[in-house]
Amino acid sequence: MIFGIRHHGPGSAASLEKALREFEPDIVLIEGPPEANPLIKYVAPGSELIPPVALLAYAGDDARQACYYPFAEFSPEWRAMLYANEKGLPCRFIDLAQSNWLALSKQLKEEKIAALSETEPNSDPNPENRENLEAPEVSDILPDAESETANEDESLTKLDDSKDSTPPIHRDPIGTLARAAGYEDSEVFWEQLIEQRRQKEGNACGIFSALLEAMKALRAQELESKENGDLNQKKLDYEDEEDNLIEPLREVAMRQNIRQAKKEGFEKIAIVCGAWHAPALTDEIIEAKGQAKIDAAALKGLPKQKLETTWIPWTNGRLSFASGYGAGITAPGWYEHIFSTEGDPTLPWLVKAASFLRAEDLDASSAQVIDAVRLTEALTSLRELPHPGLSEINEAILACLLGGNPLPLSLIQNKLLIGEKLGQVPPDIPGTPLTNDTLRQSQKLRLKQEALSKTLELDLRKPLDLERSYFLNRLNVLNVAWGERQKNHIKTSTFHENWKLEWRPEMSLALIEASIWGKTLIEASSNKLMDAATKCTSFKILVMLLGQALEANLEESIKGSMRLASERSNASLDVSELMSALPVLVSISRYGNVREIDAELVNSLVGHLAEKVIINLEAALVSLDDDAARSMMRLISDCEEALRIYEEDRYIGELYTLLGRLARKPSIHPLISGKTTKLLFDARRLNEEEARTIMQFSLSKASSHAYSGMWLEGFLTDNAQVLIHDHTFFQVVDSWLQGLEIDQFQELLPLLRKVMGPYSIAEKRNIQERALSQTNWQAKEEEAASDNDLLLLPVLDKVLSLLGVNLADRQTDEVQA
Amino acid sequence: MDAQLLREHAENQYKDELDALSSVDKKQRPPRWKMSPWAVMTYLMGGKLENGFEISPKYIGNRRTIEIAVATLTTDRALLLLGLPGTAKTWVAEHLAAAISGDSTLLIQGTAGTSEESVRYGWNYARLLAEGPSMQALVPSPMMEAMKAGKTARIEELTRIPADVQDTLITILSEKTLPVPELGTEIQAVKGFNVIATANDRDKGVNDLSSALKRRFNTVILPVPATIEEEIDIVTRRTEAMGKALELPAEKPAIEEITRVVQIFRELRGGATLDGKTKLRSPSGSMSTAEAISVMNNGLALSGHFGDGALKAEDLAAGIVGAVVKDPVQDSLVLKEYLETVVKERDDWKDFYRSIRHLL
Repeated sequence: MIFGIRHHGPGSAASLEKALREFEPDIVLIEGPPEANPLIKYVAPGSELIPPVALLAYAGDDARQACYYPFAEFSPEWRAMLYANEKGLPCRFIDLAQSNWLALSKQLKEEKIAALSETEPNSDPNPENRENLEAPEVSDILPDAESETANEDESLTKLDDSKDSTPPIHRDPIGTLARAAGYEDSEVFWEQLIEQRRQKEGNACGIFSALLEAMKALRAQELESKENGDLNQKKLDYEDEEDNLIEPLREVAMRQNIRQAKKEGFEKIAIVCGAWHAPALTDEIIEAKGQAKIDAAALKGLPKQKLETTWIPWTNGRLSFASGYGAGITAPGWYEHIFSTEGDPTLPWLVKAASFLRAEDLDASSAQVIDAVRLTEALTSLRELPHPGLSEINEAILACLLGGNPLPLSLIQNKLLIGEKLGQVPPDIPGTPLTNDTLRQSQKLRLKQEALSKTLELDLRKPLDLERSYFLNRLNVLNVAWGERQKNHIKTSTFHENWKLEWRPEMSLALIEASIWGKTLIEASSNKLMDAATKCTSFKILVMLLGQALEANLEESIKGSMRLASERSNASLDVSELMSALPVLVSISRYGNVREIDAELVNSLVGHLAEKVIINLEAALVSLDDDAARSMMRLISDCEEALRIYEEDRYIGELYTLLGRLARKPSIHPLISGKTTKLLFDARRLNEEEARTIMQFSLSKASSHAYSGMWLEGFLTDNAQVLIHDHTFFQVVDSWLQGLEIDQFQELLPLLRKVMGPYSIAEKRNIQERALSQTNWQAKEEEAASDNDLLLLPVLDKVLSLLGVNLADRQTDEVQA
Repeated sequence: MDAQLLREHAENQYKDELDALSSVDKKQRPPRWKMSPWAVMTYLMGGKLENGFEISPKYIGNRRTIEIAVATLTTDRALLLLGLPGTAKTWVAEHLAAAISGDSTLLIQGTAGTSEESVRYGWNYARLLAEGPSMQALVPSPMMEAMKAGKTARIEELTRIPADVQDTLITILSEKTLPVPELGTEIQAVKGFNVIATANDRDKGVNDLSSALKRRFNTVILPVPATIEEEIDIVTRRTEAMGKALELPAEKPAIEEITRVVQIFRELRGGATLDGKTKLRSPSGSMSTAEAISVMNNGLALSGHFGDGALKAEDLAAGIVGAVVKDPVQDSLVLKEYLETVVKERDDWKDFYRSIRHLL
């Protein structure tokens, strides 16, 4: 008996389970890789293997060559395995051996590349271009492997592609059926007919025989159209070529395996396979004369590759179509719901949606749920469907519960439609490629998995140490905190890193969990980082992730997050966010060459950010409070520094023009206008005269003393030299200080202390000396009494002594030092 | 009475289509509906009847949206059509009422000055004084008429009605009854009564619906045109029609100009360039199709009356700036950024770049 199913179809699964109980087979054969037969025994009620999980077949020597077979609770294949193990029946996978399959597709790819380089002999001696040709095969490994699982199922799960105009039948067999039945959408047709079918007791096998007949008719029709030279068939793309080679072989292999089972004396054989394959596995074909010989010959001499198999945990998210999984389904959460709900799933689903909405603090009353149920029913009857589908329910949620606003729906979408769920794998299952790869690398890097905490000092100039740093950083990306980066207090140079190493047992689990991200450490950490980068909403975090990617040397995610950053930078409203990102990017651009990052990309992003900052900066400086102004001041000076050292000098020029305007704009916060004056003066964009004018203007009596004080803070922070070397500036400051009332002075003292506190000892002493010499000079000028020098000391000196700069003390300090 | 009307009601203008539909319509009709939900859908979306009669499409866009609207009206829930200006809310409401009740005139126009009387009932004061309170002295509102006759009432611009007047709708919508305390009686709605309201949620000076009222409506959002082709089509047809009506002297605009204007509107509205490569900030205005149409008309008027009659970038620039810059500070930054990062880079858009730049 052949049971044609749709992968991950809950209706198929439910019908299959019933049909199997009715049929009572003595062996269960399932479309799947025979290499994984020893792994079937783990699928049992009460086992620690909890779906969603995936069967993973990978080449032992090159884990990037691999293939996933995901299973969910509601996958028909999973139910079949469960049934067989529960009844103690033999259960086998009967598809073409994955070792042949992988080897074949590898061979095909190599031929393809060979053919490409032959057609253009020597026209491209440039090795870089050659690399481009090969690049997709290397970088697309993950989706590629998954699309192989998709091919396995070209019959049914390509439904989602069916919106492309009139595909050939074998791409969309259900679409053809659906159109024949008067449905516009093949997905709706299948959902209504099979997946949401509520089976009456008895005759569970009937639907499978009917399906077999339908598929037979479709395949006959497809054969016909192929012979007639259907236009669509002429233009074979790469994937089709692989299909054409491998698909028939798979059916041959299945037939051979069925023959084998028959030979062993099994009589009631249950065959579970994609519905499209069903007609090729019927008894007529299997027992047809001579067919066995042809089949045996076809399988002879196929290339082979050594494979290992294991179970790895999977997530519902990666079952979904959106994750790039070819045989994916749009809403695993919905399917799970249909599978686990008895009776009409609509109301429980709406109640669930309402409770999720309430958890997000959104209104969702029971009355609204009732209205939504009614609207669902009305829509269903208007569309003349037997059962409400997911889209009817979603539209009702939108209209009744959310007031037409789709945003809240996206809030609950992941929980509801996808259902974040992580599978579990028992610890005694052989290791995953990721754990193996990590182990291999750690051995290569001479890092031992020890529970003992110890410190590792790395000198990044040494290749081994650099690799170790990359390795530990990559593990950190995967939340495997084997190494913890320590602050290095002694050696502050950038090429020294200190790590605290400690291996904890839960990390092996974390590594297995991380298997969903990829098969090698690089691939997994890169994928995970990119995932975070795609999901994150803050530009700042994105730049942080970019920094993380740099530290872990993940080329793909550096490029990817760079691209994201350039997209986000356009949408970001927050100038300060952009400004804090700019220095990071400039440093990437400066040191990027070492890491072979695409300089053009970085530079265009830097240019973009710089332009945006320059356009928006002025507007962002309106009505800032003191704290905001202080942080803005720092950002401006960071950006100025970054752009100053940046190789292209266009932006710094534009920035200076802007700053020049800001320095003279009275409504700008004094901290910022002081800082901009300083920056411009340092950059020689203002000459002494101009700077002094601005200073005098800002310190003039008409402005409040608080304003002047802040202006000085902006101007003098990190700027002792101007007071030491420039007589006129010193004088302006000095006379301003002298003009202050005593209580004003007291008020400003802490601020001045804060400004001058960080000056170095030598600088403070220099200023004091200047203050004293000023006194002498003044003393001579005014011929004041020499016996009372202290009284005539300019106020600045008093400030300095209040600041704790005592000349005598300092001198003794230095002598001691 | 032969004076030509400027505009006919939908049920008169499309009388033959409505008649043809109800003559072939054999499906089940909800109480007091003139036709079945299926026929209402056909009337709105267009189609060919079995007898070969062609029904013109009234709404160009997503069929599912209209399906939700019709399905809502078959339940006892009221329908709220939300959307930007120019997304055909009123148009859809009018045709729904015409198809379902054969009467699109039971209309309450929502304004800031809409009073409770226009939603419930008023009094004929002469009669009230002469005879005292009686049913005869009562002046029914369109809502009351609809309730009595089991028809569809329409409320235009629901969100412009003051909040306290909006509240009078709550009892009508949930209990389907309109109490008349002065007479100690009430008007109870007959089967078939329902309400279609239209509203604009992003406009300024609107009164947000209370959640109690919102809960009594099923909300359907009419989207802006889904594809650029669809939108270009709408803008072209409307611009041509209006140019004719206003008797503008200019040549009709080249399709390239329309495409560019629609592209600018779509890009700024959608917050991304059409090729999806660059993300953009959206201005505070709605950037609706209706505004794109008025930009085109403005440009035509400018070039016709003051220019050489051929539509140029300069003629359109002022309109575009006016449509984008609703908030003088934020929006002009948005436009400036868009100019520098997107328009400047497009080789054949130099004239747009220069003329808009000139105005900023």
